[in-house]
Order: sequence, then C-alpha cells, then structure tokens
Amino acid sequence: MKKLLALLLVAVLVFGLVACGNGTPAATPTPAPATPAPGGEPTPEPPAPAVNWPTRPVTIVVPLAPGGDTDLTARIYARFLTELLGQPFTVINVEGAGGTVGATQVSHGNPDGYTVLWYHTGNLFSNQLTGATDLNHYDFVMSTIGMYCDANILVAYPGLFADAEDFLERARANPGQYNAAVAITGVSGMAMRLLERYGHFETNLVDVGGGGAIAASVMGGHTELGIGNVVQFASHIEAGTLQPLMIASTQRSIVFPDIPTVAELGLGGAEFGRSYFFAFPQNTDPAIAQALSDAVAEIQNNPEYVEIMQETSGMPTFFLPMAEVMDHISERWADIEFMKAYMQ
Amino acid sequence: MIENLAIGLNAILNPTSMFVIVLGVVIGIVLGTIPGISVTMTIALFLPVSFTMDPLNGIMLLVGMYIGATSGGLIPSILLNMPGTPANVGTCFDGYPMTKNGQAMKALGIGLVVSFVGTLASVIMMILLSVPLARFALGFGPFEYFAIAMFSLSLLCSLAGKSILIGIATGLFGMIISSVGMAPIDAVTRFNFGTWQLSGGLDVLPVLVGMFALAEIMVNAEKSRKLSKEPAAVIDTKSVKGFGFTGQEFKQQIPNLTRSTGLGLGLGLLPGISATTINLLAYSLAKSSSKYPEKFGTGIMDGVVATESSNSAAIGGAMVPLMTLGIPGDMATAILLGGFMIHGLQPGPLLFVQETALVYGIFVSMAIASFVMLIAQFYGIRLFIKVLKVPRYILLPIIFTMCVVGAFGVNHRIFDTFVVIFFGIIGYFFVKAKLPVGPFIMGFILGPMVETFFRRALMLSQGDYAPFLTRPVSGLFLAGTVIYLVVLTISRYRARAKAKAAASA
Repeated sequence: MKKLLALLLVAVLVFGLVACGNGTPAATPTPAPATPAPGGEPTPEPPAPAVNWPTRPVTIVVPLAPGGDTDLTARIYARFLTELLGQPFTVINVEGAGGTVGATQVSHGNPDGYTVLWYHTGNLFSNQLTGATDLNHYDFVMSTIGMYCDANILVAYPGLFADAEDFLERARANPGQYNAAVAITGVSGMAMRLLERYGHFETNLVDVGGGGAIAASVMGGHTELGIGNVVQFASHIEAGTLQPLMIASTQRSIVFPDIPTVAELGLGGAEFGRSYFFAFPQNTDPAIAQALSDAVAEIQNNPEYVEIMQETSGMPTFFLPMAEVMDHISERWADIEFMKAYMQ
Repeated sequence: MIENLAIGLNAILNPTSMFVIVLGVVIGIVLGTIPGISVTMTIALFLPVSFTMDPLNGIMLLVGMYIGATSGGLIPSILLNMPGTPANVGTCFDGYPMTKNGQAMKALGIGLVVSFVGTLASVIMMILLSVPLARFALGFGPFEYFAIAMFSLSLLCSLAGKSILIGIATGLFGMIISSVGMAPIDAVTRFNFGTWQLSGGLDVLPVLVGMFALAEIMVNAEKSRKLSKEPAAVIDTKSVKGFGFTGQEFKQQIPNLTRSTGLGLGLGLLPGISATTINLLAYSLAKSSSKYPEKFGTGIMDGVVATESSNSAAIGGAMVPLMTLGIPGDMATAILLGGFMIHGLQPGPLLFVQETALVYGIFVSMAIASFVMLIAQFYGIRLFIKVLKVPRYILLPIIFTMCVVGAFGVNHRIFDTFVVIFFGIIGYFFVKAKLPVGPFIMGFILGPMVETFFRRALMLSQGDYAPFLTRPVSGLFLAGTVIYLVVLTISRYRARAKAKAAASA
C-alpha cells in the first residue's frame, strides 16, 4: 500500500520534472542572472562573444506541429547549438492558428534571451495576408536566417498533361476548369496564386489541408493539380504516381534536376520561397541575438550539419547573419504584399 | 510476402530490438494511464529520443508506444471514469459503471483482450493488404468525408439519454465550443474575445480532461464531506481467474467485436479521422444496433468491447497511408513521419523496395508489440486495480496535478490549464444537471469536420450540391443518416406511446 503510494508520488514528481524541464523557461519568467551561476559548469567560450550567453538551457519554440519540416529543422539546429555552445537547446511545440499562437507567445515573452522562436516567413506572411494577425517581423528581435526553401513543385495526376507547356496551354484555354489542391491560407495557396498570376491562367483552388493531404488529393484523382514542397512529393514523383510540371524556384532542384523552373517557362516572378528564422522576444538584448547568429554561422561550416540538413529539407543549406535579416524579410514582404487583395 | 516478413523478423530478432519493443509498449501503457497525457503526447515526448537510435529501433520504440498508450488509456477510464487518452473516452460510459458494480476486473480483462484482438487484426490486415487498402483510402474525397461526418453526427442521438432534445442541445453546445478560434479554410477568427490565446481554438485534450477527469474529481470532493469514512471499494482479485470473463460471454461479443474492429480499421485508414472520433462512433453504433440499447451505460461489456477494439484497430488503419503513401492519418502518425524523416527516410512506395528490412521489421514489431501489450497488462491490471484502494483524498489530488500538468504539456501553454479548469466546472454542471456528456463530446469533435469538409466539397464542385447525392459512398452515408433518424424517431414515438398506454392501464 505504502509502496504503491510512493510509486505514484514518484511518478508525479518525475513527470512534473519532465514537463517543467521542457516548458518552464517559456512560461514562468525568471530574471536572467547578470553573471554566470556560481558553481556552474564552465562553458566553452562561444565564438567572439559580446555577451556571456548562454549560461543556462535555452528553449526553442516551434509554433507548428511536431514532425513537420519546421520542427525537424529546429531539432537539427538544437542538436548542433547544444554541441557548440555547451548548454542544452530544447525544442517545444506551441501550436495554434497556423503558427500565430506560438509566435505571439514568444513575441510577448520574457526577453531574457532563453526563449527563441524558430519559424518561417511562409506562415508569418500568409497569416498577415489573410488578416488573421498583424504580427510581423518588427514584433521580434530578429537573429538569423538558418534555412531557405523555395522548392515548391506543381504536380499533376500522371498522364493528364504531356508536359508543363501542354498544361499551360490548356489551363489558359479553359479558365477554372482544372482543380488545384492547396492549403488555401497557407504557403501552397500563396504559391499557386503566384503561378496563376504570372502564368496568366486560372484554376479552381480547392482547400484540402496541409501535410500529405495535397499529394493524396491528386493521387486519388479528386483534383488534377497540387502544389507543395519537394520533400512531401519526392517518393511519389520517383514512383511515378505524381507527375511534376514545374518548380517555383530560382534554380532547378538538387533532387529532381529535370523539372523546369518557372522562369524557364516564362513565368519569372512566380518564385516563392520561405526563410526560416530565429527570433527573440521584443526588447531582448541585441547582443544575444548577435551571439546566436554567430553560432549559427559557425554551424554552417560543419559538414555533418550540411549533410543532415540537406537530407531533411531537400535544399542546399542557407544562412543570413543578423545584419541582413530585417532587409531580407522586408524585401520579401514587399514582393508579396499585393496578395492581400486575393487572400482576404 | 513470406520472404519479406522473414527479412523483417531477422532484422529485429536481437536483444536490443526486443528490449526496445518491450520498453516502448510499457512506457506507452504507463503514460497512457495518466489522464492528461494523450497518445500523441507520449510519442512526441520520445521523438527526440528516437533520433539518437538507429532508424528501425527508433521507429519501433515510437510504434510500441502508440500501441501501448492507446490500450493503457482504458485503465483509468474503467477504474476512475477518467479517459486515459482521448481515444478511450467511450470506454468510460460502460467501463466505469462496471467498476461501480464490482466488475472492475472483468471490465479491464475484456478491454485488454479486445484491445489485443483489435491491434493484432488490424496489423495483420495492414501487412497483407496495405497497398489495396491505401488505394481504397485515396478514393475518399471531401464529399465522402462530409457524409461520414454527418452520419456520425446523427449517431449522437444514441448517446442522448432520456431526452433526444437535450441530447441535440448539448451536441450543438459542443459544436459551438469547437468553433472557437480560426475557422477552417479561410482562417477568420471566431469567438476569440480579442485575445490571441483563443485564436488557436480549444485543444481536444484539455476540454476532455476538464469535462471528465476534473468534473469527476469535483463530484468526489463534494461527496467527501458526507462520506469521509467511505469504505474502500471491495475488489476480489484472488477469485478472478484469467481475464475475468467466461468463454460464453466472449462468444456473445464476437459480432460486436468484429464490427467494431472493422470500423476501427476502415475509418482509421482515412486520413483525418482519428481514434478519438472512432471509439465514440463504435460505441454509438454498438448501442444503436444492440438488442438491448437501454442497458448501455449501466455497465455492460458491449460498450467496452466496442470502444477498445475500435481504437486499437485504428492503429493498423492509420499506419497504412503512412507507410505506403507517406501520408499521416492523425497527429500520432504525423509525429511518426517526423521520426522517419529525421533519419532521411521517406515513407512511400519506394521504401518497401529500398528498405525492405525496415518496413517489414516495423510490421513484425507491431505484431510482437500487441502480444507484449497483452502480457504486460495482464500482470499490470492486478497492480493497477489497487489504485481503487488508495483513499480518494490522496489519489484525486495526484490525478488533479497530472491533469493540469498534462494539459500544460499538450502545447506548453499555461492557458490550457485554465481551459481544463473552465471545462471542469462546465463538466460538473453537466453532472449536477444530469446532462449527457457524450453528445457534447461528439459535437465538439465532429463539428469542425462537418464544416471543413462541407466547405471543401463545395469548393471542389464550385457550389454544386449534386455530388453529395450522386457520388455513391457519399449518397449511401447520407441516406443512412436519414434512415437512422427516421427509424429512431418512430421507435422513440412507439416507446412513448407504449409507456403512456401502460401508465393509463
């Protein structure tokens, strides 16, 4: 009897520790120690540090579901940052409203430098374009861009079209006849609308949700077309169950070099990419954001990182230091802001 | 096929892999028994651990947890009226009354055995027929999903209790609650009362934990003043042999078991329909097609058989689109997909060719895991049942802590712990006012499905309603909905007329 009680209590305590170990830094603000904790383990010197950071574990908030590309790349960075900076970087997921809940939580969070957001401009922009939120990159202390992905591929049910030219011709001749599977307020919805605009054709956009739903919709014959990133289509393209038409990227894919880019087909301007960034809460010491940016820069030189990142994202690695982040995102936003009229 | 299975078996016949399977299942069972920790959360917690292992062992660990947690959730549902995971909600409806009737061992025993049967049957179907099953699942578009959701929604009437009207009203209340947050399709924010915290909507887990676990704690707390010296429940574990039920009793459940397992497998195949929905559907369907629907809710095995076999069978179902197409069917399989991708593996048709040992290793490990689950819980229930002997004033505060911490863990938000408390209060009022919780939960879970697929279907047909009726599967389910409602109305009317006649006679 007593044993059982003790067991139960231990279970509660252990579980409490697990949960708190993941979440407390984000939830209960504690002031950052001005000096490293006495008696703490000596941490290896970070490269050219302007501040002594980090001196305790850092929480990376991913505002999207576990298992997706944002989550997986966050975990890759967490691993290499932990190795480099000598403090554990833990990933937690705070989902909701297409990323807005987690992003807002970090933006309003404790600016002690121990909570950082890993997110991308795809959802940051689309949530502004639909009018769901006003949250933008000025609401954070932006640190660095650690990944870029513009491998959006337009796919069709195999056998419907001879090639991309054939598709464009027929889509222009029959406006609204072909159905395209997208997540209507998401990245794929924006990418498809850009293709339509620069390709001078019109399809019937059908929301099917995210994840694998777009591939399923096309393979199941419910929609003729679908658009999504290279990773989610790769095995179906290889197996021949999806036919790739074009890639909305500035360069051909490293995985499928045979797919023509939009510019090659005369649709220049329809390229659409998303930049994945680290961002700190408002009022965080910029020196901390710079320290993270420097660390991420150093990780780019690690061949092991390059291999894992390319395998997971299907894209070459990409990095922008803190000094260039705000301009980069503002420029992208300027390119896409006109879509507001189509998204609301 | 046989050759591939042999390759798979060969890949996992080593002490490390066997240890990993047992570890996964046991951790899954333990976390599954904690109300507030869902199957999804269990897998998410151990996702980073799997990254450090080799691909096959890492994925086997997660799959073992998937199987363990789905089944382990039946224990608190039966013993405490608190669903261990959202996939075990329906198990409370008859499992807890069985405990109250002194049949806790029997309820646990049958729940455990049908869990095992459901898992194993679905795994075998998955191994034999994964490719045709996946093709079958792909044939379902928004029209079919909408029709299935409508049919499911009509079944909430079977959970309504005495008054259908009150049942429908609580169902509608659930649907209203589910509409908080961003609308599907166009992301318009609804009922967020100006706070961004509500923009993400209300997660299923905190709502369920509040409505069931916290409400139950409050009801008990209220009693505690009057019954401070309440004798601990008498449970006879010594005289109970085996699993606590007779062969005859099991035989009677075979039609129900077959139907519920089939339902779990069939609906589990469809991406977007999770075990949370499926176990409730199986329960309503078992009740509607039973010869003694009035006994449901009083503590009969049928209810437990329906929910526990269907939610376990949904595992094999959900694994099919994941393995053959790389399409996750629910949150749990979405996290498994992440487990594959971090190792540079993309589930899909090519994986079967390129990584035969891995794919069939996973398949075989799932079959083994279902046996491990059976054995571990067979010995486990004798331990778990002792929970009932723990004084409530010690047990309930512990559960309360777990619920709140678990709700926080879903999304790492303090906000969700307030959601638990808010719905705990609502759940308490439901108990006090004798309102049925079942329809509320069904409305809450199915409301977004109905809305989403209705709008998606109309986007696809460009506003044309005809395909709802002309597409065969969709037409069939919608016709079934109408027939069910008509039959239900007539039978209720007749029953009332009979009661009136009896009263006046």
